[in-house]
Amino acid sequence: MANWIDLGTRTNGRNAGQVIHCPGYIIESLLRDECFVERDLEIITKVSYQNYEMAFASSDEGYYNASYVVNITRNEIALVNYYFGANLQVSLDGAYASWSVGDKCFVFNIQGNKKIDAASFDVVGKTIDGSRKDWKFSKSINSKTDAYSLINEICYESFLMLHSVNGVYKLVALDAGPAVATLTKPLITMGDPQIKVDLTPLSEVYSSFRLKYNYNYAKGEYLQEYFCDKNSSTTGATGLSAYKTKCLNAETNYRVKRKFEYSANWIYDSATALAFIKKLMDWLTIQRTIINWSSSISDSIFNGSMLDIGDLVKVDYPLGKVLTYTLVDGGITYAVGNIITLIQTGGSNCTFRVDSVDGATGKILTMTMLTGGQGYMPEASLTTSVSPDIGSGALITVNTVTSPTIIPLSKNNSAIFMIYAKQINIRNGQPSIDYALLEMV
Amino acid sequence: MITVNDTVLDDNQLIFVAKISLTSSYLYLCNRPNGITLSSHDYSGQLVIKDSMTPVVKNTNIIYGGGIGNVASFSVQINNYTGYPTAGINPLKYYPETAIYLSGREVEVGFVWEGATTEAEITTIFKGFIEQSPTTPGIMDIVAIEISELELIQLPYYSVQKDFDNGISYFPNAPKESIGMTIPILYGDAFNGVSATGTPDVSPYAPGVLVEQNNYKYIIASHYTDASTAEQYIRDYDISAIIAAYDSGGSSVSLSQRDKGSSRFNIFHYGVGDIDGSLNYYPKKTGTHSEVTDFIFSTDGLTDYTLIPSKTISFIADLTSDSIDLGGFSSMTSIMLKVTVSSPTTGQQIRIRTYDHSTEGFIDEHIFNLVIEGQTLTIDYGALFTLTNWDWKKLISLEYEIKNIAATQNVSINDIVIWVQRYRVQGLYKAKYYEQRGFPLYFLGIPIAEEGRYIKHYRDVAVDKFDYNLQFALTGRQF
Repeated sequence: MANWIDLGTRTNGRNAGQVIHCPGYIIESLLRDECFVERDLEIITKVSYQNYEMAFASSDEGYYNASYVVNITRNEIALVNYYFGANLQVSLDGAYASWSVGDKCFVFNIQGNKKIDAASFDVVGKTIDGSRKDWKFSKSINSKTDAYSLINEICYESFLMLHSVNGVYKLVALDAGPAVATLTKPLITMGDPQIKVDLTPLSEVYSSFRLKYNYNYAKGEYLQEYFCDKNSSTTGATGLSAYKTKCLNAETNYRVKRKFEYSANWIYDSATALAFIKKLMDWLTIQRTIINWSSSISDSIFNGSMLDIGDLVKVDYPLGKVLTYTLVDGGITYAVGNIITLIQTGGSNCTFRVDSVDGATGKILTMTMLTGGQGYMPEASLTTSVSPDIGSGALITVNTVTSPTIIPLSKNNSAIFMIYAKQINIRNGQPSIDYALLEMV
Repeated sequence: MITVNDTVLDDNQLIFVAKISLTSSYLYLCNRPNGITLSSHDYSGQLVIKDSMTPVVKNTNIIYGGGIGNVASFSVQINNYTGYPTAGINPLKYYPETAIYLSGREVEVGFVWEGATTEAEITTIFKGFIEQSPTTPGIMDIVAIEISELELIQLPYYSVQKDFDNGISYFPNAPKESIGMTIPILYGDAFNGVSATGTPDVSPYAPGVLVEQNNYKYIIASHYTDASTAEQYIRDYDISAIIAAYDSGGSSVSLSQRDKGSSRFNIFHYGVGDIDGSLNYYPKKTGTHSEVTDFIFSTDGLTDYTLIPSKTISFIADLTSDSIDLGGFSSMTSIMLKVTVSSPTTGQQIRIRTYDHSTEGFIDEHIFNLVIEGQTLTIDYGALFTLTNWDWKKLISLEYEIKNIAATQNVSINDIVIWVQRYRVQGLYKAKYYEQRGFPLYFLGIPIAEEGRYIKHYRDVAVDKFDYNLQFALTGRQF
């Protein structure tokens, strides 16, 4: 029992002595209480009632500051005020007169306050508005596995993502929410915006869902379950019936008839199970948009902070190479697309030269009207051809690029994406950053 | 988002820097040929092979749902000849007398813009440790990865052992079958279990590991828990019983022993005179008098069963396991039949009779007027029969008959349960036992006791292996 939950400025509504239910805090506890630990220690020297020496692994000065020493022999816990690395000596938060040489001890929460972004865990778990505040998990972890697999399972059953930012663990809920930035300026290479739009795999779309939960160790079975497909859903499950439409849409839109069945080892609580299966169905009944977005380093910085994994963003940029220009010709302004919609009377197969394009400096291309009065198609190659038939030797100059709104990347410009991968490219003079974005539901 | 520590300029003014920890110093590198000085540290560009700093890649896989991010990686190539101030680095393992081994050393990578003068202006984009440093005569490749500590830690940490007294997992008297078994870590609640009115299990109990063979001591967790009671799951009946302990005077005794290092349950430990259980048994087998069968499994406290006028349902107990013994205990205070009805209306009546197949006759009859929603109709067999003469076999020979004797009105029955308030836990597992009757248990090697009857003195019952059929009701780790 330790009060790391109340450390510093944490305001999460949770207190020392309370049972840990919330999945986010179970993860935090596993990190602090089980991973950041040195065990099987013994008091070697009792320097004073407050200072004790043991065979600690690190001799770095202050390394064990703010960790906790459990004296198993005395059944007491003490906070480490300071660690004298050279002497392998902890100075505790008070006098512990009964502690003696040979007492069995272990230490937990080693570097925990530095290695955990507590604020991110509180966003998920605080009692007032935490995104998983009412989720209850329970499990007796009674078979050995690596901490990664264990925590990964908790993350999966709670739609959480744990990742480290320069060695600091951060927890993120996989939910839509307010965007911290809107991406509008991709990297342009050879005139092409560095964007790729894709969809989540069709193999991950399902039309029928069954979730088993409340595992009973004695019986060796899950005692309860929820079910939903296009025809029926578990009776009495609040709001689950409405999800039948999603299952139907999955079958109709994607032509899939696929069952998703999952047995949750951590979920025993009906309300939590219901929230989880609903989230699963939100997640797995549609194909969601994936965007690979490259930008300059400076364009990835908003208000002095650089976008990182877990951040939510919006995207406002047209799909594809379609460009829309405002043309100025002899004082007349024309709005055109990639097919120039400027209607001209006169002959066909005329061409004209674009002398400049704002945003694509230096490009000169030839536009050809295939059919009189139906617009001009751009040629693939650049040219310096003159335009004999568009007026008498007139040249059209494209001098501005207007707001491109042909096919927005983000649906109605309101879809929320989460950054789930990034690559910082270190190149002299041409550094850049690539992000992978996933549409949130 | 990551806070940027420098004033943002154009990308062509960016400088990437790397700092590698050595024994008592650092190796400072950057991707600009002329280098940069930050906080009086010269970040060398000459040492770095041009454009050899690899991208810093970091990703997570959330396409399929939640999970943990993958580790980031980074590498850089540096010139490897003695003319450069490489701070004594010699990665070649065949020069151990002069080498500073690079594996495991910390690497930090970040960026600043031109004009930066202090290390405080660096925005860190990678922290990791050198994994390897392949070297050619001219070039040393420093490959770093973010440490994947979670993959290196095995949980739960403790296993039952008798080799080393660490205060938590050391149990010199543990049965050999328990040696090496994992001591669990427990989170969340595990205590709702079986209620007095028969509500089924709604949360998991926690398994334990037998660590004291002679006195049935179990360890539930390697940390402090808020322990309450133990439960015995009786597989034959698919029911769970609450285990409780009493001292020789009949007062309740706590079974749990909790401390900062672990949580244990001490079944049959010193000072305990009596280990009892209580259980709820639901009808599973219809009786010969029953006119319908579909009430089985539907009268479980969760849903209502509609018993139409003049219809009779009946069931028998069919409890025949060795695991529990209900016979003739002074501690067994009561065995009751409880029938709970929903939403009764005036005039509704239920008749409950008990039929004894051994005498082929009804031994009692009760008529109840239903007046209260959720009314529980109780027949206390412990009061009807002399407890000390009560025989378990008599109980299982009885047939319990319930009839709606109203003329026109349906009765909704929500719950039917036989409640055994206290029974003697003879053995935690299916052990045979014999009645002593004042004689030696064996005579000339032949058992003379009657199997299946109560023995006054406990025997040590061998436990074959760790089994989940003894579970514990408690709440898990606390903040």
